[in-house]
Formats: sequence, structure tokens, C-alpha cells
Amino acid sequence: MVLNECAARLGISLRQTEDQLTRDMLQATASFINCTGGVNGDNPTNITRFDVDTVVRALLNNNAYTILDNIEGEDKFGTAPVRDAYFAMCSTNLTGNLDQVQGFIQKNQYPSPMNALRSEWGSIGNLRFLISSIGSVTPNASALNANVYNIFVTGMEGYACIEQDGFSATFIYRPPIYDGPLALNASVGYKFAEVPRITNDLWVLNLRSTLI
Amino acid sequence: MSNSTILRGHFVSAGQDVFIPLRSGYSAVKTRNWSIYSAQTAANGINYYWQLGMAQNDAMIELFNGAGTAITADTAANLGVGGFTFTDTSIQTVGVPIVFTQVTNAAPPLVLTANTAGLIANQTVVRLYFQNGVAPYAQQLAGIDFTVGAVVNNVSFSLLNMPVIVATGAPVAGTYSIISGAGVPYWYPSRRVISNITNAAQAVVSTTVDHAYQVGQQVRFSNVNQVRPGSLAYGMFQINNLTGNIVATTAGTFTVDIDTTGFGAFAFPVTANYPFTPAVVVPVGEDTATALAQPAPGVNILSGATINTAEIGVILAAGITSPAGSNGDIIYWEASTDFNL
Repeated sequence: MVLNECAARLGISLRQTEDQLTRDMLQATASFINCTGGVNGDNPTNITRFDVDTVVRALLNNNAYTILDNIEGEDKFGTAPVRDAYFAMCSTNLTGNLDQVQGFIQKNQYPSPMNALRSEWGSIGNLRFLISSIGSVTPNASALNANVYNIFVTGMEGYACIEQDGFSATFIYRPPIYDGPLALNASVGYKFAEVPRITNDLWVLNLRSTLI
Repeated sequence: MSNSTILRGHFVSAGQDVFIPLRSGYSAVKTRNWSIYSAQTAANGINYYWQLGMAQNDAMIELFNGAGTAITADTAANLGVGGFTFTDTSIQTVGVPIVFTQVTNAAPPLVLTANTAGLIANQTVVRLYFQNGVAPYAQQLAGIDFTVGAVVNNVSFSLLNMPVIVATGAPVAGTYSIISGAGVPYWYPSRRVISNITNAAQAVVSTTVDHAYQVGQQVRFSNVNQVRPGSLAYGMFQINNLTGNIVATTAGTFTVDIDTTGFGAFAFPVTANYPFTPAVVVPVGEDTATALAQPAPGVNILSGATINTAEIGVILAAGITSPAGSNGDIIYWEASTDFNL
């Protein structure tokens, strides 16, 4: 029971660490576009439909493939069809700002909500927004000293996580009998070695924004 | 059963703070200054110790008294000197905002301020901020990181790699903050904001922060076509999305094999362009032929690979009563990590 709990927690820790490393790699190395369509007087500004269209157009011009297929419209009250889309990965703090963007479709307004991903917040144009509490934030990086939220917009196969030879994620368990002369304690842990890497810099863009 | 793993080493002090990477962290760390043991220099420290539970930048210190005749005990906090500080280089911090009164149109631009504490010429990276709702003088520099050039103590500092800016309107005050880790993300090679590109058979590119790129790396130019959709203010839109191989470098510039003689002149955005997207250079790979063609000692042909450069460890402060000692001192160190079996 305890071991199962430990394994579950370690699994979350492993994948969150992986996410954080990938997030920081994208923040450091991906090209970016500042939101400029907003009205908060900052640089970058808050996100608007103008900025979403700008980043989508840039990816389309770079021949990036969308990742998700469209969701066809259905005859259901309050729903709207969803375009084929690139992923836009961002912080949970952006949810309120996303709600205010023109053309935003909340995921419960999808014709078939079962097609929405667990971490998804909604879609705008050809972007579907995935949110995370560990989404990328650059502190005090705007012109007016506000936090800058990095929205990583990626097409298909824009980046990859490459496992180093022989070091794919490993769960380690040493039972008490092997862990000490009196067999009092066990050890559990994980280790992994991998490198996240942008595979095509034209297919990953960081849309930087501040909050309204 | 409790155990400790112990790492040991030594170095010759250069009179500056020393970073010792300790991959597994540490529960306790101590240093001994062999040179002071030997010379028995008055008022100099010989033994330094820090253990979990103590404050950052503190240390227990044994030092010779003022006459050099006996050893006394004290702490770094009591003496007002630096001790041991745990460091994780993956965490970049932003310093407190410090007021400046103006950015000038000099070449390079000068930031006028009565407080230059902590600025080190050609090394420190600062980020500039402006106030909302005031005249947008020099506001095109706001939110961008810069390597600091010449520092005139408590008068001004220059923006090392910036050309003359075109600032309009009345000068306004703002603030700057020091960015830790020289403003370098822990993933290498990272993108950089472009401050200038020359018109030449092989273009010379300046970056606002020293880039650390190497000859042979391949880079792409991005956002140079427009400051924002519909506004072509950068001038050299022809270079946008082109890739080039780096054939020469200095700390703040690099030369690429792209002929820009027929291109429009690069122009950094003016205040009227605010808000905008800065032009950036993005490392995309390696041209091994260029790298291999370099004369001895050559360059690393894998330097374009994405590398996690973050480290955790301890910073030893320098000084006659601090763990990294004074210039020329021989320092022996020992760090231990506790664990249970």
C-alpha cells in the first residue's frame, strides 16, 4: 500500500520534472512573438485574437502541421465547431485572460466534449490551449516590470524529448533486506536522463503575454 | 543506519567568490586555508564551517587574532563578511528595481543612475523598465536584457552591445534590475535579442546580451521582417528566416556567412514602435564543415547540441575572513551529504 503510494507520487514527480525541463528549454531556445494587440499598455500586452491570429499565421507560413483534427459541429445548443489546431501550452494564471479573447470556445462548448483533453481549457481560432500550474512564467520581464507568461505554440513534431542511451526512466526499489544490516528501511526512487530538443525551430513559437 | 558521503578538493584562490558544484547537495561544508595555517597571518581566518540549519551566507569561523598570537572564534554574520551560500543555477532571479533618471542617445547608450551597486563591467546583465502612462522616451529598451558596459560609480553605466538609440520626447525616469546568472538561461545555446546587423559580405550581428555562441553553430534570424504585423520598422526584412553559419565571434557579436550588402539597413525600433516583438537570433544546429575548418585548437563540433548547464552547489565568499580566502591562498574544502539506510 505504502509502496504503491510512493510509486504513484514518484511517477508524478518524474513527469513533472520532465515537463519543467522541457518548459525551460522551450523558454530559453524557442523564437518568440510578443503580444501587441492588447490594451494594458505593457510590452508584451495581454493576449488578444490579433495575437492568436499572428502566431497561427506564422506557423502556417512555416508549413507546420496542426496536431489535432477539427471537431465537427453538431446540432446542440450552445456548442460550436472547433478547428484543427496547434497546441498552445501555458500557465493556469492565463485562464481569465483567455476567456476574454474574441472567439474563445470553452471546452464544454465543444460539440463532443469527450474530445477535449483533461488539461485543456478551450480553443481560439486554430489554437487549443492546454494549461498547467507549472506553466512557463518569466518573472518581471515585461516593459512595466510585470510577469511574462510564455505560451508555447507548437505544430506536429516541433520538439522532442530524447532519452539518453540506457537511461530511460527507471523506478528503483531496494527492499529492506538489501538496504541495511538490520533490514529496517527500504529505498525507492527514480532516475532518468533525457534531453528535450527543438527539432524544427520554425514549428515552435513562444507567444509572450502579460495579464490584463 | 546513518551515513555520509564526503567530497573533497582544493583550489588556489583568485580573491573572488568560488562556486563548487555538488550534485547531491550538502548537509555540511567546511574549508581550511592552508596558506594562513602556514603563514599564521594576523586577523585572517583558517577554518570555516557551515551546516544545515544555519543561515545562508553564514559560517562558523576560526581566525587569528589581531596580533597573530592566538586563534579566536566568530561567525561570518558577526564579522559582516560572506560565508557559504547554497546555489541552484537553474533558478534565475530578478534583483530589486533601482531608479535611473534617463537613457541617453550616446553610443553606446548611457543609463544615468545614482546607484550602480553590484554592477560589474562587461559581465552583469540588467533589465530596464519604464513607467506606464509617461512619455515613451527610450521605451523601446524596456523589458529587454542588456550586458552592462563601462560603469561610472554611482553616475552611469553603458549598454555594452547597443548602438545609438533614437529616442523621442522628454527623457523620463525608469528602473533597472540585475538579472542573476549573467542573464543566461540554463539551457545552452539560447536565443538572443539582436541589437544590430551590419551590411557586409559577412554580416556582423550584435546581441543585447553576450551570446556565448561558437564558430560553426548555425543560427536563424527571426522577427526581423516586422516589429509587429503591418509595421516593417526593422529595415533589414530580407534577412528574416535566413539561416547562417557563424564564422567568427566576440563576446557581444558574431559574424555569419550571409551577404547583407544589398539588404536594407537594420534599424532598432524607435519609441513610436512600442509595443513590439524584438528581433531575435535562434540557434538551430551545427555546420560541422565550418567547425572542422577552424585552426587549432579548433572548436567543439557538438557545441550546437542542446545542453542543460544547470548546477547545484555552494558559493564560497572571498576575503581574509571568508571561506574562499584571498588571492593566492590555497584552500582545501570538504562537503558531506547525510543519508539513512
